[in-house]
Amino acid sequence: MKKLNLYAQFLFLISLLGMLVFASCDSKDDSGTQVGPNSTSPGQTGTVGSTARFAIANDHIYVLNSNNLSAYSITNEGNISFVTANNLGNGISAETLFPYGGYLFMGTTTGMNIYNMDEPARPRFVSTYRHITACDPVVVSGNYAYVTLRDGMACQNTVNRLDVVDISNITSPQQVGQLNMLNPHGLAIRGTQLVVCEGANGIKSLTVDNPTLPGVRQFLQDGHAVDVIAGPSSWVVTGDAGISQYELDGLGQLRRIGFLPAGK
Amino acid sequence: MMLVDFKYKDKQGGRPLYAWLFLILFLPVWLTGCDSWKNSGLPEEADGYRPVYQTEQESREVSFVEHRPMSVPGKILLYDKWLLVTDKGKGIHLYDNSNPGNPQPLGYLVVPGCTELHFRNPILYANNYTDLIAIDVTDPTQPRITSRIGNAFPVSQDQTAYPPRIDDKKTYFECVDPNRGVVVGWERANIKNPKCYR
Repeated sequence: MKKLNLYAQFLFLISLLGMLVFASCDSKDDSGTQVGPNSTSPGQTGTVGSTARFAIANDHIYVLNSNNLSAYSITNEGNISFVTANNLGNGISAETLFPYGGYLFMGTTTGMNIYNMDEPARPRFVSTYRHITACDPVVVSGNYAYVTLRDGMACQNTVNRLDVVDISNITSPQQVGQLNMLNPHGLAIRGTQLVVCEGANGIKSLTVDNPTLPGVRQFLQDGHAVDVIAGPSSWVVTGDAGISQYELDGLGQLRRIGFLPAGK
Repeated sequence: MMLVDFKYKDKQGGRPLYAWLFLILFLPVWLTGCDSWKNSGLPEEADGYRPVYQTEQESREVSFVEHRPMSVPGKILLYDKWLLVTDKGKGIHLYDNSNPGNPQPLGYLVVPGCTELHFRNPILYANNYTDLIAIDVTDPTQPRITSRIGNAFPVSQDQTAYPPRIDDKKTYFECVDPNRGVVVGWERANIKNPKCYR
């Protein structure tokens, strides 16, 4: 009996020691991988929101500078070199760029412009989906582009709407659906699930199972929201009050799982 | 005076030489008169903004510091376990987003004038006011600017060009003196004899 007790104590001590060693290993690992980017995937690109003013694709950075679309080569890592500037035309002011499938989709004040990147250093104008003057980020999935139009001081417009544009014929984009919104800003899509930021009104989860008839699944009045990213493990939303993260289930229901408040 | 002049013209059907002389002689008086009238419309003192200056060199430097509160959350970026958030016009917050329910702050990159960001491992691309810069963040605690392109972003992107408006009304501010450096922000202050407003 006594022997067994000793044995048990010995085991207990050994396991304690083991736990300590493991714990220290763990914390070491953490401090090693936490701060820096993953060194095993050089050249991989981050995901930005739909309101981004610049895009990275094909070893090039595309920047919207007033009414120019500038292309810079970054073939040489860490070294930016200017290649070309495309004039967008008189009176056109562009604010957002979304690269998708060899094309750049540009949200401008007069419509959605499409440029091809066949020659990455020289993006070429392909077509435009013209709408009334408005501010409009755009995201694309498959054969459809989703464009939000909103009113506001800088946007000279009184319409708040989501437009669905069929781009299967890239040279002739056609509007196939629309939905009235409150004050739509940035948006993100995964599969047939779309999340649209409604400014001070919150966020909306939509389904585009039928792209011509986008349907609201949930309207979450959850604070100011201007842009969103569909991340691998959450939908990240940015707004005046901070950064919120949501889980989105198959029924289009959003559940807030985390919040980084401004001021903290 | 214009009125008299025109009446005269009506009667005579033409404008004689002395009328032209008269006009030329008094033109400066009218103009300066207008000017002083405008000046007298400025208050002696106003609740407004004063520019915060930095040396040109300071305004072009990036550095890594400990986590600090987010003041104005801007654009976001996801990369692997990273969540990056710009603090409008100031820098970039770094978080470990392995657990989206509870992101852990990793630190803060001071990037003056930053509103836009992108990332291609291991280079972070951002705007430093209107410049486009490449920052090597292989070790984010030792950020290194490896490239810079001037005037790649529009001036509207420069959040510090003008102070914010107070209650959407005419807002007075101390005029910018370029000899004192570059403007990196604005602080609310009582401005004596303000000459600038928006």
